[in-house]
Amino acid sequence: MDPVRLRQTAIAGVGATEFSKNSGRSELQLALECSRAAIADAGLQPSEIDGFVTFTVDNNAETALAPGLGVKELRWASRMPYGGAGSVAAVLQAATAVASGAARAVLVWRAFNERSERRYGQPTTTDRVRTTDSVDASWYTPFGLDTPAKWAGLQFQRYMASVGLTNSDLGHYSVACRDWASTNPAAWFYGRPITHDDHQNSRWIAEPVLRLLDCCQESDGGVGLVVTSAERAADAPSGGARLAAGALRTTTDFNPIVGFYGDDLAGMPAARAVGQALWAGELRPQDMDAAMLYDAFSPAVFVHLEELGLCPRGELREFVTSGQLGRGGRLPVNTHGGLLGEAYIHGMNNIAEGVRQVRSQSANQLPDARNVIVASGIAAMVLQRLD
Amino acid sequence: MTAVSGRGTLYSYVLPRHPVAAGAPPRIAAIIALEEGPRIVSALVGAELDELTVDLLVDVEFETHEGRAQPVFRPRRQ
Repeated sequence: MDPVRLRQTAIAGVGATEFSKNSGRSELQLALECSRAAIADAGLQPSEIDGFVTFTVDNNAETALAPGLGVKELRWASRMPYGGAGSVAAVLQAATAVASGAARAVLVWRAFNERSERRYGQPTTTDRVRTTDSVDASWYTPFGLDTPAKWAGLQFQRYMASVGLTNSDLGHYSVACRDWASTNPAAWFYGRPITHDDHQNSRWIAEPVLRLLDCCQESDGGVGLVVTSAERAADAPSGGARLAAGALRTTTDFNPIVGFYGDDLAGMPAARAVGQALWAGELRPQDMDAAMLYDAFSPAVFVHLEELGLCPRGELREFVTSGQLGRGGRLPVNTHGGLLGEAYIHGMNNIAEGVRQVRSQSANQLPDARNVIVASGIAAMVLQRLD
Repeated sequence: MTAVSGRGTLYSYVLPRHPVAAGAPPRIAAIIALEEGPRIVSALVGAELDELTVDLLVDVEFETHEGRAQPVFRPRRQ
């Protein structure tokens, strides 16, 4: 999108349910709760929401949410594919609607009982409905590849062998994000920091790449966001987070988690293209005060750091193992604990933490968080304090 | 359409330790880069995990499952 128009949009409201392993209520109820909270946080009434964006995989229909919230008239509704990799992209889609004038205030939500109902981490069987995805799956499920951890492990082994990372190196991120989580009351790992030994003693899930503590949570919960104009966001009770830059790119063979045939599995070409687009303007990687990076599995953080230019190539291992992602580090990453340490709300909780940091509302508030990059594979944005 | 030789290299591999749906014992899953260019997802047989490195030379062989042939790959004997 035109960068000047994008800069005129902002996230004005954030809402969330509690994150748990058993919410005890429906996915629709979770969606309504997080959405109401986000709308109130933006200082708006539900009747002022005129756009909806969610994930293609969200089970809550627009036709259920609109009457449940009291939304009067929608001018924009769309859904983003690519699962959690589409989380930042969903916000950019909402911003596109606002920037073009198609809608004035767009609600973005994602809510599910991903632990107490359909568990993403458990083996899946091939769908009886013949979709392009199920036909693709028929080429790999016969070889025991039936969970995201196994798919990701198979891709990341090539990456780790190429850049010289071991599972022990991944442990340094795993420890850093649990340390952030340990002081965030909303996090599953609240009050429970881990050691590098804990990481190395956790059981293999996909050997030699992923141990249990390299894998994200399975969580019940919801997160809502309200995207509107920066001008309007300035009036929100807690202020807003300007979309100072943003980009979405996919590449020919891109597939977020079962992309076994892409040109370059030793990296993520889509994220590389996103980085090039993001830094084409005035902002530079070194201007970032923190980063919220999609971390369904710990290697993804390393890929993002390198492909988005947040860490010089060749210095990645040293950067992470010397503690630069943790407290007092050069680039604090996932200060809420990330998808590993806080909860797995499909990336939306990482975006919420980016907003909280620039609005000075984080449980682990950084002293001067002016620019925060939030990235999920195919898309990234820079959230900037509105002042 | 191009016929392929069944020769290739081990592009990536992983040993799933989490149970598989059918309850079958874990085996090494692999991405094989065929000599002719395309990649195929398959199983790596005849080697232990700690003997493997990426780009190892491999050859196809066929297993029969429920009357159907399924390609798997084995490290090439030098």
